[in-house]
This record gives sequence, C-alpha cells and structure tokens, in this order.
Amino acid sequence: MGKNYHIKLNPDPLSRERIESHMDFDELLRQYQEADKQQVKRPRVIKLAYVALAAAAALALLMVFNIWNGASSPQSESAYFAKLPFVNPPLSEWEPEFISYKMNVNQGGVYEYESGSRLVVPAAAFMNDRGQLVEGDVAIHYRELHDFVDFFLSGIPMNYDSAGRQFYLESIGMVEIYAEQNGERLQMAPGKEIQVELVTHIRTTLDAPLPHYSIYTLDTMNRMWAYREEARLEVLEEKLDAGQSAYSDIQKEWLESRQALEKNYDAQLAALEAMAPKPTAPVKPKRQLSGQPTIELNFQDENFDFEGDNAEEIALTRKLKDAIWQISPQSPPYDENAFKVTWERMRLKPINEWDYTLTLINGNRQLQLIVNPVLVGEAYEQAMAQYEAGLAEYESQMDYRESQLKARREALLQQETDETRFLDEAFTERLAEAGAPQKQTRPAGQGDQPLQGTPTRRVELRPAPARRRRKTQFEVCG
Amino acid sequence: MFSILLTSSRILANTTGMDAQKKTVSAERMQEEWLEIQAAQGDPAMFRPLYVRYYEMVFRFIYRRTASEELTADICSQVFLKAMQRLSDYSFKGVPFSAWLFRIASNEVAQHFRQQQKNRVLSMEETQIGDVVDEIDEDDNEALRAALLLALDDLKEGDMELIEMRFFEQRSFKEIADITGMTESNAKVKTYRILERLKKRLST
Repeated sequence: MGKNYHIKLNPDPLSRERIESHMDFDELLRQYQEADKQQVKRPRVIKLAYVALAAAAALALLMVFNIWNGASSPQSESAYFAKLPFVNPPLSEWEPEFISYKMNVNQGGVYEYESGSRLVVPAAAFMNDRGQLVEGDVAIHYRELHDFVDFFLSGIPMNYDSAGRQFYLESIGMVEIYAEQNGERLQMAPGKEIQVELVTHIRTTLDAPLPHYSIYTLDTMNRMWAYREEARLEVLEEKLDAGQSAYSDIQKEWLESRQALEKNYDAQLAALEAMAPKPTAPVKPKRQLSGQPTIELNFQDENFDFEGDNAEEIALTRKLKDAIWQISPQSPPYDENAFKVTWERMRLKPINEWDYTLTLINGNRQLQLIVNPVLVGEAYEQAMAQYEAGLAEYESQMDYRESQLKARREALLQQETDETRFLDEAFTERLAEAGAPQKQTRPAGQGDQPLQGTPTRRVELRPAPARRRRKTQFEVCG
Repeated sequence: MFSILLTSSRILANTTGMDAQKKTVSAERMQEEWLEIQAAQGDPAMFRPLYVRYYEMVFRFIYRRTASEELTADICSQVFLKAMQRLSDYSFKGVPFSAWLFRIASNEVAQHFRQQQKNRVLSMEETQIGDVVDEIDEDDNEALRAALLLALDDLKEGDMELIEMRFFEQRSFKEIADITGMTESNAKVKTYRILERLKKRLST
C-alpha cells in the first residue's frame, strides 16, 4: 500500500450480471420518497473546519476557495495590478484588523479565535532574519477574512492564474498571520509550522453536496496565488439560514456585474479567435502495446462499414493505411473463439481520436470490441517523421497566428480591465455610502495584555492546556 | 464474407469492460436524454431509464476506486439517490448526463475515504503503466515501472484523477473536462504538466 493511494494492479473483474444484481430502482425510489418527505428545500449554513499548516514563513495567507463555475476572468494580473500596490485596501480605515497576542516562544501555545478557529504554535518556532532562534516573548498577529466585504476591504487581489488562464476567486475564508519581536518580522524556524484550524461558513441548499475547495497561499513577492493543496474540510454544524446579510444585495449585484463583464469579454475573445482558426495539430502516432492482440481491417472490403461521414472515412483511410488495429485494454470481454468465426459484416465507429468501436456481425450475432489504430516497425518510424515535420509546420502556423492576434487580444483585455476597475470603484463608493461595518467586533481572548507599540487589539496566548480534544477540535457555536 | 485475421498470438480476455458508449455521446443523443431528464424532474419514477442506462458504468467507475464490490454497491446507491435529489437543479449545458453522475460519484468516493481516513484505491492494468511510460518517452523496464508507481503515489488527488481518467480509464480529454468541470484545453495542459513532473522525477 502506498502512502496516499492503495494501488491495485489488475483488479478483479466484475461481470455485467454481477453488477446488475445490485440494481434495485424500486428501493432507490422508496429511499428518495422517504428522504423527500423529511427534506425542506431551504438554504442552509454549514460550518466547516479546515486544518492547515502555515508555510515556513512568518507571513502566511491561506485561502480556501472555489472558482466561479465556467467563468474565466480575462484579466491578466500584470495588466490589472500594474498600476496598483499588490495588496491595496480601498478603504484603509475599514480594513479588517489583526488581533495580536503575546506568547512565550519557549512554551508555544494555543489560541482560540471567536469564530471557533484555532492556532497551535509550537515551542521554539521562530527565528530572526539572521537565522537565529529567538527567545522570550513574541507578538503573533492574526486575522481572518470570511466574506466578500472582508476580502474587498482588505484589498487582497482575488485573481488567480491557472494554466495560463485567469480566474476570479470566490473564497470561503482566509487567514493572515505574522510574528514580530521588537518590531522585527520573524521567520518560521526550520521544521516548525503553525497549525491553523479555520472555521468558516458556506451557504448552500439542503440537498447540495459539499463543494470542492482548494488552498492557496498569496505569494506577495511574485504577486500571485500559489496552489497549496486540496482542502480537507469537515462539517461541524449545519443549520437553516435565518436571513440575508445587510450587504448581500450589493455583493450579489457586484458579482453579477463582474460575471457579465467576463462573459462579454469571453464572447469578444471567442469572436476574435474565430477570425483566425487554429491549425489542426498533428496526432502523434502510437506504437502497439506489448502483448495486446491486434487485428487487420480492410477498409476496401464491401462488407466493411464506417460510421461517420465520407470525408472522415477518406481521411481516416489515408491516415491509417498502414495501421493495424490493437484490441484496447478497455475493450469489453470477448471469447477467443470469436476469431475462428467467419463474420459477415463489420462496422467501425470512432469514439474519440484514439478509440473506435468495432462491431462484428454474423446474422443475429454481434461482437463489439474497442480497438485502437497502432503502427509497427518502419510504418511507425515513417509516421513519426511525418508527425515531427507536421508538428514543426503546426508550430510555425501557430506562431504566425499569435503574431496576428496578440495586439488585438491585449487591447480587448485592457478595455475589460478598465471596465472592471470602474466597477470596483463604484462598488467601493456604494459600500462607503451604505456604511460598511468596521471589522472590530470580534472579542479578545482571555487575559489580554497590552503590547507596546502595537496599534491593534491585544490578547494573550495561553499555553496549550493538557486536555483530550474532540475529533472536530472546535467548540460549536450556533 | 471474411474472417478476422488475428495478427497477435496472445489474446487477453479483458474484463474491465468499459462501455464504449460512455466515451462520447452525440449532441442528438444528449438532446434526447435531456427530454428524459426533464420527465424525471417532473416524476421521480421516470428516472428509471437513466438509472438502468448508467448504473453499470457508474458502478465500474466507483469499483475502480474502491476494489470492493459491497462498498461500491453502497456508494453507487448513494450516488443515484443524490442524483435524484439534485435532479431538479440539473440543467442541460451541452455536457453528457454521465459526466454529472461521475462527478457525484467522484465526490462520494472522496467523501467516503476521507471519513474513513483511509487511502483510496487506484486501479490499473499492468499494461496501462506502460502507456504512461510511453507517454513520457522513457524506455519501459521493471525498475522504471516501480519508480513510476512510487511517483504516482505522491500525486495530489486532483492530479491523480487526471492521470487516472486519461491513462487508466482511457477517457478523452473532452470527457475528462466534462467530468471535472475544467476546459478541455486546461485538462490537456494540466495532464501534460503532470507527465512532465513525473518525467523529471523519474530522471533524477
């Protein structure tokens, strides 16, 4: 068994009959009707716990988010942020504040946040920028950002690049932590990590599944969100929603406007791309898998049918004239005796660029296989040479296409960026007009002690009490 | 009339039995199916034909990730129950209905193993390891295969899903994109980046 997966080679086969023996639609329908009686379709609020280890840096910003479904933001980070500081609070007086607490580095400690979140800081966890372990008291500064207003007021960029595409993030929670001693920022000591257990809420309907979330760290040096891991979330509590937040209408409107902008940009971009259709990339020829049985198909035989249009068949015939057909490892089971039978007709139907369904017919009898075209010997070498020549030509055409489209694409992007910025500014003004709440309502922990020269609220870190922790590790608050 | 000429002497009775129909669905067929789904949205009993059509393929999808017939049957029931419960929110977006079911199944499997705090199963045929080796342009040998298995074991769940669907379930990028909700090009790019990482790791 591996450390992350239980790898199973050549799993035991299951016959169709065996699988069908588990089918019972009537029972399923009964369960559905039973559950339906009990279910009221109202929104629910789910409290989730996320546990992560802060990166080995004094400043760690973790983010749990999903990406707007299908909505790809056209914004390029460089274009969007070029004129702005990377983290740019629009209303600095309303920026969500840090809570600060003092801890003795020799003891480490545990801090529980009002939301139910928890920080576990190990002993001897910090060093200065000269790489020396620090001793005595240090100040830990911590804040959580939970909702759209928090994110917006914090000025944290919410754009994310994935495989060259830009996305706008929808977060269900962030934390920011840093440590200081005598005003000097500290680093995490090698091998030390702060355990962060973030409790957050999501709103969803009763019958919806838990969505997938991922964890990202904001890399302020490289001005980007860096993927960290998939979130492991635990549901702590579910309750029916009591109402809307005061700012939900403004948030909703802003989100819809932003999505509409992105949709419009996508449409314009698609139209631009369509003006210069992409050349077709050559398909890399494949070699026969060792040990897989192969068969020969004669496209010229009058009893051979190709299920596709004529042009496709001609192209395929030309392309695969030297191919033999390998029975795919994914083909349904078959009897070896099938190859002793004389079949009357044969049909070939493409499934995708690699898989084809081959149907052999003899009277009422049919055998269906999945087959792949493969090449052997000299034919493979020739096809590879053609492929490489075709690939060079393809790349050259793509370069030319790119040179034609690049400037227009960037102009489109700039226009969209300007419109987005205008939208954001309008949103900021509306928030201000609505009197957005200052995020200062979270109570301090027990035993507050003032920290010299720290303008934020102060609470003292308690050494971790020796107690048995529940699985959820959180107090559930309603 | 003709006979099939068998050009390879070894016939391997393959029993993984992936239904060819699951690989692609024509636009016309999807439209027809959308009518069936709408009927089931109005009357849950009309979900039966969809259940019958997709039960085996969802079962096999889960079985590859659990290797336990009984557990698969339990999870499969949950998948179809959830599908029925969420059917009212389903709308046709040009993606096969099966992709939606696979996505529910994938979530259910992940949730099961997370709750049990166990590693999930990754099933593959030995020949498919060779496919991955071939794809990363390495010479196939036993030592490399062993190293590849170790490297695969280190992949994150999201990355593993892509490799699994592409190489061990032989799905097209279009189908992978439909199931994962990413774009087809994104699925391709991500897959090839993972292969590059595997290649880099195997070469060190």
